[in-house]
Amino acid sequence: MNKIVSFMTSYKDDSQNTKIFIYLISILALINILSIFPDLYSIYSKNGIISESLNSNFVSADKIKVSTLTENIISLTSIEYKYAFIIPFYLYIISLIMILLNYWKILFAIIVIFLHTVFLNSAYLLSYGADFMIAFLLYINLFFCIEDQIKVESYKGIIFSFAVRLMQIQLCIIYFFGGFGKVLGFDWLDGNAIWLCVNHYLDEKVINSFFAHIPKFIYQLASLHVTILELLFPIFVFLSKNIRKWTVINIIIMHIVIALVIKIYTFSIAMLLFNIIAFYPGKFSILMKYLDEKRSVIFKQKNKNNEVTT
Amino acid sequence: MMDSSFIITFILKFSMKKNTWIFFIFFILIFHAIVSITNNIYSLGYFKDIKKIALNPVGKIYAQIVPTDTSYYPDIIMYYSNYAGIDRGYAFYSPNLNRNKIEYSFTTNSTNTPIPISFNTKESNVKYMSMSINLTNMFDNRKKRNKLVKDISIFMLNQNKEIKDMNFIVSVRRIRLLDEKYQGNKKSINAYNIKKLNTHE
Repeated sequence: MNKIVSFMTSYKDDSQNTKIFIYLISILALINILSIFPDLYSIYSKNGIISESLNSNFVSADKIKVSTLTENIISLTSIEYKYAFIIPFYLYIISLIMILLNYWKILFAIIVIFLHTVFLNSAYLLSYGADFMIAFLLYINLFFCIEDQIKVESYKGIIFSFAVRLMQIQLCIIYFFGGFGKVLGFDWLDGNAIWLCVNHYLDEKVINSFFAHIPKFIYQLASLHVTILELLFPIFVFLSKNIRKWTVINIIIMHIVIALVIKIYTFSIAMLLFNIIAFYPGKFSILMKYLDEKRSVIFKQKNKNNEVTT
Repeated sequence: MMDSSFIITFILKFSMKKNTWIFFIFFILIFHAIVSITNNIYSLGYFKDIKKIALNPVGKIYAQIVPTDTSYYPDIIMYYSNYAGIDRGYAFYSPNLNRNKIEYSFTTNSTNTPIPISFNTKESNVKYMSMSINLTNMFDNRKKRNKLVKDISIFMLNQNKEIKDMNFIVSVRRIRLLDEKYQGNKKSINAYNIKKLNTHE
C-alpha cells in the first residue's frame, strides 16, 4: 500500500500547474473546433461528405452521434435542422469558454468530453490522430478540473499526480504500439519508410530538388531511429533522468518534423503538449514565473521612467 | 466565482478516507492501462484479414496469435474506451507504407475539368486528406470504396448544382524504393495506371 501511495502522490502540484494545464488543453480544443468551424456542415451534417450509412459501417449503432442529438433537439423544440445541428457545436465552444472562465468547470469538462466523443463518432473516416489525442487530453482535463476544485489540504495533489501518471502510461502505450507495429513489417527496418512518407506527402518538385539528393543511409538511420525510439520509449523514460530528457527531446524533434513535413500541425501541437505535461509538468510554471518576473521588471522600469519624466 | 468545489469537498470529507481515495484512483489507472493495451493488441488484428500485407517472420507469428473476436468485449470497456479517446490503435504507418501513391480527382463528364473539393480551412483539408488515406486502405474492398466514392460525389453534386454527373479518376503511381532510386532511376515517381469510375447513377 505504501508503494502505491508513493507512486500515486510523487508529483507535487505547485498550485500554478493545474490551472495552466486546464487553460492549455481547453485552448487547444477551442482552436481545434474553431479551425474547422466553417466546414462543420460539410463534415458532420446529414448532407455532409460522408453519409450516416457509410459511417455506421465503422461506428456501432448504439454510440451517440451528432444526428442522434439533432433529432432529439428537433423533436423537443421543432426548430429547423440547420439550427438544431449547430447547437451541440455552440454548446461545446461555450463549455470550453466556461472552463477557461473558471465557472462550474467539472460539469463543463464532462460536457466537453461527451460532445467531443459524439463528434468523433459522427465522422469516423474524417477523424485522425489529433482528434483522438485531444479526446484523451480532454479526459485528463477533467481530472485537472477536479484537482483544481479540491479545497481539503490533505487531499490536494493526489489527483494531479494521478493525472500525470495516467498521461505517462498512455504515452508509453502510444509509442510502444507505434513502434511494435513498425517492427512487424519491412519498411521501417530496411529504411524505406521515411522515404515513402516523404513521397506520399510532398510534391514531386520538392522531392526531386531536395529530398532525392539526401544520402540513402540518412533515410535508413532515420527510419530505424524512429522505430527504436518508439518501441523502447517506455524503458527509456523510466531509466534515468538524463535518458528521459534525451528521449523526450528526440520525441519533440520527431513531432516538429512531422508538423513541418506532413503539415499536421494540430496533431504535433497536441503531442508536444502531451509529452511536456506528462514528463516535465513543472516546466510550465517555471516559464510562467519567468514571464511574471520579466513583466514585473518591465513594469518597474516603466514606472521609474515615468517618475523621471514627471 | 461560482464553482463545484463544495461537491468535491463533500465527497472527500464525508465518504472517503485518504487511502481509499488513493486506492480508488490507482484502480482507475490500472483499469485504463489494461483497456488501452487490449485495444491496441486487438487493433492489429486486421493483419489476419489482409493477405497482401508483407510481414516479416515476427509479424507472421503475431498475425497467427493476435485475437480478433471482440464480441465478448464488455460494454463498460467499449464505452470507457470511447469516452477516454483510446478506442483506436496507435500503429500509425505500420507495418509498411503503401508503395503506390494514389491520388483522386473528380471531373465533369462533359468537359473533363477537375472539380476541387471545397473545404474552407486547412484543418478541414487535413481531415479530407486522412479520409483519402482511409480510402486508399479500403481500396481492395470494392463495396466500401464505391460507397465512399458515391458519398463524395453526391456531396460535390449538391455543392455544384450546375453539374449533372461526374467521373471519379484514380491515379495510381508507384513510388521507387531507395534501392531502385540509387540504381540510377532518375524519375522519382512513375505513373502506371489510371482508372475511371463513373459516379453518375
